Amino acid sequence: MKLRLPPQPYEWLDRKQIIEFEFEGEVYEGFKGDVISGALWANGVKTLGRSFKYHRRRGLLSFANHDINALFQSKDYPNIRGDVTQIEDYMNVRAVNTFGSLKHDKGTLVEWIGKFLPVGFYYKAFYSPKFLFPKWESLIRTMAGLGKVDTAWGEERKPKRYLHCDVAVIGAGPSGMAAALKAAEQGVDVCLIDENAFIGGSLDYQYANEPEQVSNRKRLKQGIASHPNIQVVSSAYVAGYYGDHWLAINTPQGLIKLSAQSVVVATGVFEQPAVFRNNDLPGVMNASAAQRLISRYAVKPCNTAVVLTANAEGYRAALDMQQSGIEVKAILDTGERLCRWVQEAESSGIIIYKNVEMVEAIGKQALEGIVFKANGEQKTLECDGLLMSVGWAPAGAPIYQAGGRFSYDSTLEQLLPSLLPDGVFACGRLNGVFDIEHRIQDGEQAGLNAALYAKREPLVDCLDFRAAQAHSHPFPIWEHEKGKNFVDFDEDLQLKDLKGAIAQGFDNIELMKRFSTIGMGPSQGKHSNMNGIRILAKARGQSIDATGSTTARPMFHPTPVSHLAGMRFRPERLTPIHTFHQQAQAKFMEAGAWLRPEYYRTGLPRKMCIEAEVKAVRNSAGLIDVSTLGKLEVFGQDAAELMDRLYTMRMSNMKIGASRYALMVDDAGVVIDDGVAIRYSEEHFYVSTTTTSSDSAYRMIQKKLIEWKLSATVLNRTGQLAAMNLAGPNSRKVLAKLTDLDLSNEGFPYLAMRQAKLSGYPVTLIRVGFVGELGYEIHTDASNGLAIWKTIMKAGEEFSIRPFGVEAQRLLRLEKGHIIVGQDTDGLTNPFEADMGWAVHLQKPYFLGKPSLSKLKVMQSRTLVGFELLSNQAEHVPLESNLVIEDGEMAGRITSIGFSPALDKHIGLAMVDVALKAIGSTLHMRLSNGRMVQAKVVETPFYDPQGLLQKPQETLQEEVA
Amino acid sequence: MSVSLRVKNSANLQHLRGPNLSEVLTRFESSDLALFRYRNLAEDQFIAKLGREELLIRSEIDLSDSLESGQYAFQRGDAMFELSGNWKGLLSEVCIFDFRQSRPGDFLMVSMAGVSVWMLVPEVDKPLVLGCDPTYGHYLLETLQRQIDESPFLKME
Repeated sequence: MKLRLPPQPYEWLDRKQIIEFEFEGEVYEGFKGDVISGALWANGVKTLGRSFKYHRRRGLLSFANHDINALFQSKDYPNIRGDVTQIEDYMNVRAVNTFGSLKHDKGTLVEWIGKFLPVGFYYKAFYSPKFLFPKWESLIRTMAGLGKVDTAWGEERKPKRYLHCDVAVIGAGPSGMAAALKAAEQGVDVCLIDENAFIGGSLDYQYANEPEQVSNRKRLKQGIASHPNIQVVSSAYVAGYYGDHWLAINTPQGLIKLSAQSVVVATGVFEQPAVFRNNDLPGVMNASAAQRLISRYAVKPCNTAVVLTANAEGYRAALDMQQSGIEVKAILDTGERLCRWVQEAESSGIIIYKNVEMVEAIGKQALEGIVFKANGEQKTLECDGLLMSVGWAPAGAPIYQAGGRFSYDSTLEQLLPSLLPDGVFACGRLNGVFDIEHRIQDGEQAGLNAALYAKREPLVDCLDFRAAQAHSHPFPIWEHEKGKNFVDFDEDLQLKDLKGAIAQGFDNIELMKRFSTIGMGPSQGKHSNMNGIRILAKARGQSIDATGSTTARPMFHPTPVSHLAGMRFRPERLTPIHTFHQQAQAKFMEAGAWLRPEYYRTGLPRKMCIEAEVKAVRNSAGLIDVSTLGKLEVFGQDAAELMDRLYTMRMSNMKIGASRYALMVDDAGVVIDDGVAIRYSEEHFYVSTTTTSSDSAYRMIQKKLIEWKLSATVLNRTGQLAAMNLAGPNSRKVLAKLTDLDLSNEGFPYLAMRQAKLSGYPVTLIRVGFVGELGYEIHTDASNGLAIWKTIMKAGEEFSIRPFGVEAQRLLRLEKGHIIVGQDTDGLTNPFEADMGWAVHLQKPYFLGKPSLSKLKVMQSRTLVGFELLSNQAEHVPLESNLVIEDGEMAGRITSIGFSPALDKHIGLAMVDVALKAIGSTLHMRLSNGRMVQAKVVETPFYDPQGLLQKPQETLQEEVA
Repeated sequence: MSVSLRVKNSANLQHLRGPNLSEVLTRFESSDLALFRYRNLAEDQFIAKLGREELLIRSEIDLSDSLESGQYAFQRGDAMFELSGNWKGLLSEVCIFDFRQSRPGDFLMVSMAGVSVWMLVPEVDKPLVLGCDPTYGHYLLETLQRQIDESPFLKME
């Protein structure tokens, strides 16, 4: 490893573990903890990638998760960020965006024709002639983009976590650490988030060689490690800041949703590159990148360095290089400054050029030297490293997203927070504080106030620690007649491109961004936007504030979709009888959250299985699991009054031991639910709802209870009870084998309810017939459900009883003309349209929806009718929701349709215009393929119109108990 | 710290609704039980106060015979589970609730992985007991077990 340094005091490496990895077909070695770019650099590989447009060689720039020109492709993932992704054994990566190989990239041809590809050329070049566009599109798609996505990817989901704290601190540099510690000392819970694997931030790379900071480092780090109120979330970045101080934190394990009472933003600053000719040559990098390379990964950025600086930090970087054994040829200061580090640099013998201008990098495949002017004299220096320290831009995304604002401070030549939302506090370099002791103090006061805010206590006044002199160059841009002075390294944008955009009238920051695409690459302008703003401001003769800045929207870094998606939580309900259904080869279907048997497989085709189940019910006995029905207990002093108000029929006059159809509408009179109500006692009712509406009905009833101030209680016992429906001409005989209850017509008449024991299990029996045969609905505790079901199946063996599923039930009820709410009704259907006016008792003083229904009764424009198809040919059978057409206009739709084995024809229900409701009318139905078929309106019920089969030999016609 | 999940028997779980439940509380020596608090009665037995007129009781004592007028007792067959170890870590992946707000003895009702769940917040280092509608039992069991087996967050802790 050519450029590897001896162990550094704060390095992140485990030198005991050597890792071999492959890059562009060659094997390299690194240490555990190395990142890809660092390990390659240590091995002397300085061309890490190719630029987006011109395919120029690129090396390190920021080494801070923004090095978009050092993205890599592995077998599984595209666009791996080399400056933050650790190497692993057997890792095999290649550079993205190359044609051929990184060394021999055919894409470099683009640079040769670069002068014909000015900014925005693609907006103007490809629209005419139109017939050529597909070819251009293909070419553009081939040329553009970075890594390759494997379109055969499999589903990957990462878990999400909720985390709660009082104070969240974003950034674990010196200010953030101080803020976290101070806040925790106030007794609040603190969450400290940092995107690096280890806390410390610039304290460990910019001040690594400052003996004075040893005590601060120890105090802060040990304090955080030992404080029970501080939770450190490292290797994690705040991807977005949302309302009420919710933070989306992306971690390698998945997304964390963090809720905080207050937030300290200590995210620091992004070092900004200078713009000069060939500023993209490998070897030209930000000074902080070089410091990170040394301190964290013990890698020499170069052998011979020159530092271009506009601040004191550049001098510190030069001293760090020298201390690492790098020859520092010179410091090129764009001005003149006084500070301790300047004196130390002078004392150490480093040559310092002041008032430097017109910098140019030279070299072919990498940096070989620089040319510059100092005091009017042009000079040339040979070097393989040029470190830029010309200024900073705030990492202000969390503040922008929280609703805060920044404005330009001309003393510091930097954007600073000018408006912070309640509960948001800023500190450190982001806040314009640069002295290290001040940064710690600024963090402490932000942490204190954040804690006080979280505790709802008055805040304390803060001292102003902002620097008194600039740490950024007001215009670190040197134009060169030959160009190649890059402003945006992601998008390969040069100074001339931005000037061209401005000259064409795109002289608003948002317009310039969109036309030139500055800041629209993967790093989202983190090291290009500030220079872009400066260029635009100068061109327009405006201030930075007047020029404005673009919005930093989430996500802060590209965040995997698998993290955003999270685990899939899809609740699924099983009835108490589910194990029987499984053993009986049920084909399951989803009904809301429930899994229900659609039919039971017998080895025959689906249609025949269903028909066999239908025949069993019609000819002997069948048993269906209806545990999915909603089941509500309604009890209390005003239970009867509540039932009267909830349902369209009168319930308060129901006899104890009787049952009644229960239809519910909403305030607008729209049918929303139906079921069967029974009365256990004067003050106790039990009512079923449809399968999918138990929760909504329960919620609505609870709301009405409060609104009506009635003394009653409603319990949703849907999941606590099992229910099944035994139906068929032999159902009474089956049941008689299991109970002592008098099941005769006289003892247990149609529509009555009985509480009895079935094989020793307590049950509620209701004589109702949704499927149009003699039948009993059996309700019992869920724990007894399976045993009772099996007992009935055993008792029914001599009658060839069969379990039947949802499809058979749908057909059976269709033959009876019974509607299914939600299928035969829609979000606008009222009971009169559903031909259920008989279920609406407008004489009642009040019920939910009565005012609407009173009006709707005489305003009916459509109605549900029964029909039979005039052709039984399979290709002539329409589907549910196919339209009814009359005179070329839509006149209705089919709500239910099926083949009736009992009638040997296709029957159905359709919601049609009232003009078509006459018995015998012809309905014209349009199939999905556009062909038309005819049907005839017929009376319902289709089957057993007198209802004799569900109450055989029964003379009593009225409701009984 | 790992987390483990165990299915519990939910026999003898009763839901009481109605006025004047103070006598029932007295019978279980829990007259001072506050709202949304529970008290352990014996091994696997507890009484929880869900409202002025609502109690959830797991006890071998059958209350149905001693109810006053207007009081109703319903048997409950909830799916019940016991979580030991790092249950807060596990629940943070399926539940938004801030468990810093709870204390031992609290009876909580929360939404967990899309299902309504009640839980008995335990003393430190004791297992957490939770229950839900029995028809969601298999789903919740599978969901929690999958998180325990697969969550990279939990593996780190």
